[in-house]
This record gives sequence, C-alpha cells and structure tokens, in this order.
Amino acid sequence: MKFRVSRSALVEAVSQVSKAVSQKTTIPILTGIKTTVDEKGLWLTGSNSDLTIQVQVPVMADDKELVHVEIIGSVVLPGRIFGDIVRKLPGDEVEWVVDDRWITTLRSGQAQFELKGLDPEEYPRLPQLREDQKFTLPAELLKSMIRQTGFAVSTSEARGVLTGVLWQLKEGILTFVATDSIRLSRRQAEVEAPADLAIENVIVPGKSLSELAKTLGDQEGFVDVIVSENQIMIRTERLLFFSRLLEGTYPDTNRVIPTGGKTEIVTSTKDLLQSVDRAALISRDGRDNVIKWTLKEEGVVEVNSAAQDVGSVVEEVAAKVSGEEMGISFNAQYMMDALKAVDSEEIRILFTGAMTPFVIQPADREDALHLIVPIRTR
Amino acid sequence: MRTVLLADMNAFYASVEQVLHPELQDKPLIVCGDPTRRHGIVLAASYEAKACGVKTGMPVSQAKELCPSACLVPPHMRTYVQMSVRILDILRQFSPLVEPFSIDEAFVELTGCEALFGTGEEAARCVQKRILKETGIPCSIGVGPNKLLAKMAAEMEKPLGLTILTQADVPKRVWPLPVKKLFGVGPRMEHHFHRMGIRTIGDLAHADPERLHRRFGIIGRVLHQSAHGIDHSPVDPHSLDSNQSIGHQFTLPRDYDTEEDLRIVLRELAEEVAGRARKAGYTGRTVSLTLKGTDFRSIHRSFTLPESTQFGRTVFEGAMKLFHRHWNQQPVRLVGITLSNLQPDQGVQLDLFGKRDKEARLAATVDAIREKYGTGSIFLAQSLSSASVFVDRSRKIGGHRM
Repeated sequence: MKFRVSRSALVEAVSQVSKAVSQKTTIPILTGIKTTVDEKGLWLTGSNSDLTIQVQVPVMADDKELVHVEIIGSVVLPGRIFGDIVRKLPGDEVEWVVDDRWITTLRSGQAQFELKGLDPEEYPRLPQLREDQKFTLPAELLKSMIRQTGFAVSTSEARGVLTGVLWQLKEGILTFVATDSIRLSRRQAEVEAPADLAIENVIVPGKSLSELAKTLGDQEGFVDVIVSENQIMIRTERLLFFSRLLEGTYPDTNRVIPTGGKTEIVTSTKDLLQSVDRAALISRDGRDNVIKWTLKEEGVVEVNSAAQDVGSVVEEVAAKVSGEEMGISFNAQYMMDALKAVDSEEIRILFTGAMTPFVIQPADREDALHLIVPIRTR
Repeated sequence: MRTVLLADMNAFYASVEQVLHPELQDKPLIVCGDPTRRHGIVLAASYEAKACGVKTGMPVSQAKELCPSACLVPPHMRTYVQMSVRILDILRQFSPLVEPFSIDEAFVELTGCEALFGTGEEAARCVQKRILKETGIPCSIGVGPNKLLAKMAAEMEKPLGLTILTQADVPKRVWPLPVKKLFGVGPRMEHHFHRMGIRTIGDLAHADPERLHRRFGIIGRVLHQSAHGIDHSPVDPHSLDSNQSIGHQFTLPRDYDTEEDLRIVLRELAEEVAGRARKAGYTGRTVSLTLKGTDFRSIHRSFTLPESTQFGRTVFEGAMKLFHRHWNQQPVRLVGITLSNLQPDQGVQLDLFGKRDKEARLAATVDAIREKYGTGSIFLAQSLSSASVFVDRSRKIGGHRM
C-alpha cells in the first residue's frame, strides 16, 4: 500500500469517521480506523456498536488531485493517535507507505511517523443490506428534517423507543416523528420512492441522526436511504452511514395530535421567540422552567414568568388572536426549541385548552408541526 | 453580646404522662413500646425510674429488672405533640425567635429583650416557672452567648436545672468534660478523637486546627471552634419549615429476608414518604435507601432520579434500583427511605399519553379520601399480605402510638 493524499482532505475524512470509532476497548480492532486505497480513492471506516461510517476521499475533486495512488492496499490504524497525528502534520500532503507487517509510515513536510497497524482482515465487514426498501431524497432536506425533529427525542436511555426518531413512508411521503412524551415534533416531505413502498415503525436512534447531520455537513445532491430489519443505511457518492435501529413499537402519536382548537394565534416567529427567551431568564432555574401566556382578544400574547427567589417579568407580543381568551403555562425551553426549528417568519399556534397539548406550525405550511403539553399550575 | 436560651423538657414523655395521670406523680414510670414486640424499648423514663438505673433506649425487659415497681405506659404521641406546641407557644411570648430543635427542646433568642425580661438568668427563671405552672412539665434551661453554650449549659443540670455559661467559663467548666459531651461529637467522632489522643473538650480546643481540617475537613474546624465555645449560627424559627428531606425509617416486626417481603414494605414506605412530600407541597429528585441488617451493619445509598417526583411509585422504583444494587441478601432488621433534593412543586407537567396526569389525579384522590376517612381507609391491596406494616403504621405518629 503506497499513496499520497492531500492533508486537508484527509483531516476532514478522519474527523467524519472518528465519531463512529469505538472508545471502548471491548473489541480492540474497533478502536482503529480502517483505511483502504484503491483506484477510486481512499476509504476510511470507523465503527462501534451503534454506528458505522465510511467516507471516501476521491482521487480527483474540482480538477484537483486529492489522492495519488501507487500501490493499492488496506490497513487498520489506531483511531485516536492516527487522528491526532493527521491533524498536526506540518505539510500539505501526506505520503503513506505500509509494509507487509502493517507498519505504516506517514511522511509530511519534515515529520515522519511510524505507526503499528493491524491486519485489515480482522476488521468486521460492512453490513450487506438488501436494497428492496430504498428511497431517495436531497441531502439538504434530510438534514433539515433531522434538525426539525431530532431535538424532541428523549435523552433518558430508560425511555427506549422514545430516544429515537420514527421514520414512516407512505405513498411517497416520508414522515419523521420524535417525542419525549411532553413535546412532539413531526416533519413530512415528499421523497423519490416506489409508489407501493411503505415503511413503518423504523426507529433510528436520535444520537445516530445528529451524527448523520454533522457527517453530511454541507454535502449537496441526493442521498439513498436503505432500510432493513435492524439497520438503516444512508448512502451518498462519498459516504456510507449505517445505524442500528431501536427495537420496540413506537407509540401511536396520531391520536394525540389535536385537529380542532379553541383559540388560534398568528404572529412573528422571531418576536415570539425573543420574548420567550427573555421570560426564561427568570424561570430557567425553576423545576419546570414555567412561563405563562395569556392570549387576549385585543391582539396580544402576554408573556409572564415569576420565580419566588428571583423576581418576575411581563411583556406583550402583538398577535392575531382568534377564538376564546385563555391562559396557559408551559416549559419555556420546549417552546424555544420548537420556535427555533420552524423555518418560517410567521407562526400559527392552535390551542385546545389550558390542560391539553397545543400545536405550533409555520403559518403558511402544513408539513411541519410541534406539539407541547402544558403544565397544570396550582 | 447575644443571649440564647435552650429549654429542654425533662423526661418529656414521662412527664406528660405524670401530668395527665396525677396518681403516677412521684412514681417510677416508663413510657415504652409494646414489650412483646421488638421495638419494646424505653422511650422515656421518669426521674424516679431513672434513679433505679433505667435509661432511654434500653430494652423494656432490662428496665423491668432494674425497676420492678415501675408502671409501664404505652406512648401517646398525639398528646406529646400537642404539649410540645403549647410549650412553644409559651416560649414565643418571650421572643419571636424560637427554634424548635426537637419535640422536647427549643432555642430562644433573647438578645434585645433585656429591657422586658431582665438578664438571661432572670428570663430563664421566668420561662421555667411559667412552663411548670401552665403545663406541669419540668424543664432544664441553659443560657449562653450562643446556641452551642446554651445547649451545653442545659445538659449540665437536670431536672429543673438552670445553668449559665459565659465565654469566660469555657476553660474551667467545659474543657474538663469528655470530648463526647461536646455538641456535634457522636460515637464515631469520639472514637477518631480518642485515637488522636483527644479525650477532653480541652484537648480538642488545644489541638492544631490545621491538622483537624486535614483529617476531618471543614467539620474539624467547626468542632475546634465549638471546643472554644464559639458558634455563630442564628436561632432560626423556620429551620423545621424548610425541609431538607422527607424520610422515614423503622424496625421491621421481624427480620425480613426475601425480596418479596421487602418489596412490600418498601412500597408502603415509598407511598408514605411521597404522601408527606405532597402534603408539604414538595417534589424531590434524590431517593435514599437505608437497610440495616441483623448484625447492625447498615447500608445507606442514594440515587438521583431523571426528574423530581412526589409519587410513591417513582420513589419506590428509585429505591428498588438501589435495593437491587446494594442488598447483600442478608436478613434486614430496619428499612428507611428518604426523598431529598426538594423543591416546591409549582405545577404538574402533563404528558402526551396522559400518564402523569393520571398519576397526579390518583394521588390527589387517595389523599382526599385519607384526609376525610383516615389513613387506613384506602391502601394498596398488597398491604393485606402478612409482610405488610401498613395497618400497624397507619395508626401511629413517628412510628409510635398516637
């Protein structure tokens, strides 16, 4: 194995796979990064019990040679130290030679490292998935769907399926649902899929998805999604991303999403977000971070928050209010998370009562919604 | 210069019994648990019984041997609580700053009241007389420039003692005392001190505070200051209001050695603790479990929940997690559950699937039924099993009869 590679391209690839490299030494080979060079370029692979990420540095990109291959081959290098070395190498290029005992020489500028590598045959093979459940969507859309739902998963391991995002596909519409049982976020989008393809109860760990969003970075173009029994694979030209799926049945969330309501407000997302953010300055140290809204017919939302040992705040935000006047208390953090996830200047919130969930949606679209369950105050 | 007073009711439970039953006045009297059960220990003994060598905490059988003529009386907790409240009311007529320290002790901050009641000694004499006259309960009073010295003074003479300790008295009257007499030094601390060659309070006062700090941390420094009679803590009338924790522990009627039996009592204990938290308007995040084996070795472990609770089921689940992690399969003599890390509960975060609301409504309903018809009117079916202590405990205050 012998080749040269652009250092900056290598640094980026290493940082992408590092997230999947196992920190635990229960399976020692998985603490390593598998590197393979062939006529198409350099492949790096990192893997742990949840994720496997494989990225490619192509031979050419934007008319620039990134990898110059002399002898193809493969080796596994110790993950952490290899990553650190690559980041600190002095030159623009790295010359890479592996001998028959897996001793790897990395040369860059005036520096020369020798690393003890491992036999790549010891490294687990990538999962082979049948491609009968496959659909395609733009990378940009996938990232925004993750961003708009991923925050709502439960962070408590004990919550099982609720730590993941539910993926459903029906009649070409992909739906993501995430909930920690106090708030829920749902995002829908049309994707390229065979008309008869239906996918249900596929639950992808929230952590995997946030890694996926980071790994996709600013990649453009389309991604293929392939779903199997217990794995999901996301594939682009230069990336293979595998995640295990969560076992269990996701609760039926359709029945908790209200359809009608008592009061509706329409207002500026930014103004509302900023007012909640301010009110949370008072409430944030309290147990439930409680703030209160009073919806008034004259066209304002009064935002209140008070904490015994701190003080209180009150302000008004202009809004189109239709329906009954009402007051409602909720956790400010949930509201901020939802408002930040909405890609729309105007927002519509539908209230069903002081003790029942309310629905936050972009004013002009139906494809995204956030649900928050209020706090019953005394 | 502050003037602090500590009023300590002498042989409180026994004194109350003697007040209510004049025929027992001047006779040896022992308030004790049921001698046939395991908590048959002396809770309080009148001075006449104490003269025979009966001590608080002694098994009843031993007390009877020492003082065969003693009259054995079961405890009446409700009456003692009422009496304690009456005495506090009297103390509050001397100063607004009264800190109940236990059921039979209270601190009174007299600083600034000199013009009304004279010197500490004069005020103390007046307090003592009024309590005796209005309730019939004798008390010992200690007067000092702070809570520490007031407390130590009150210990010096019983019953009906009145002792004044000033800062200047410390070397002569406090330093010769064994170190265990210092407020804040328990048996374990005493053992450590003995190994360091510290036997009297004076030895401690002359020990190197740096060394004490290194060995015991901040508490070492505090005890060194205490040995010099220094204590800056204020008399806090609300010290009992702001609960740091809510908990219960009790000795089981027999040793429990199966998980099945222990589960039942732990569930009951968790319900009891959670019920008290709800009543006080708190939710807590940290659950602690205490298990004491028959060899008197105890396990005390804590677990912080993902979110705070005031429901028995969640407290129980936390306790069971600790139980599975730390129970050594040995028979258990005493169990305890404490809920701490408390916060006032301002509201209930409802959830999408209606679980929490259901739980909150169930708890509120059970609380309301018990409020109206008594604690024993509604309970978990498992409390009908033989391992249950519910029926027994529901008739008690603080584990003793009402």
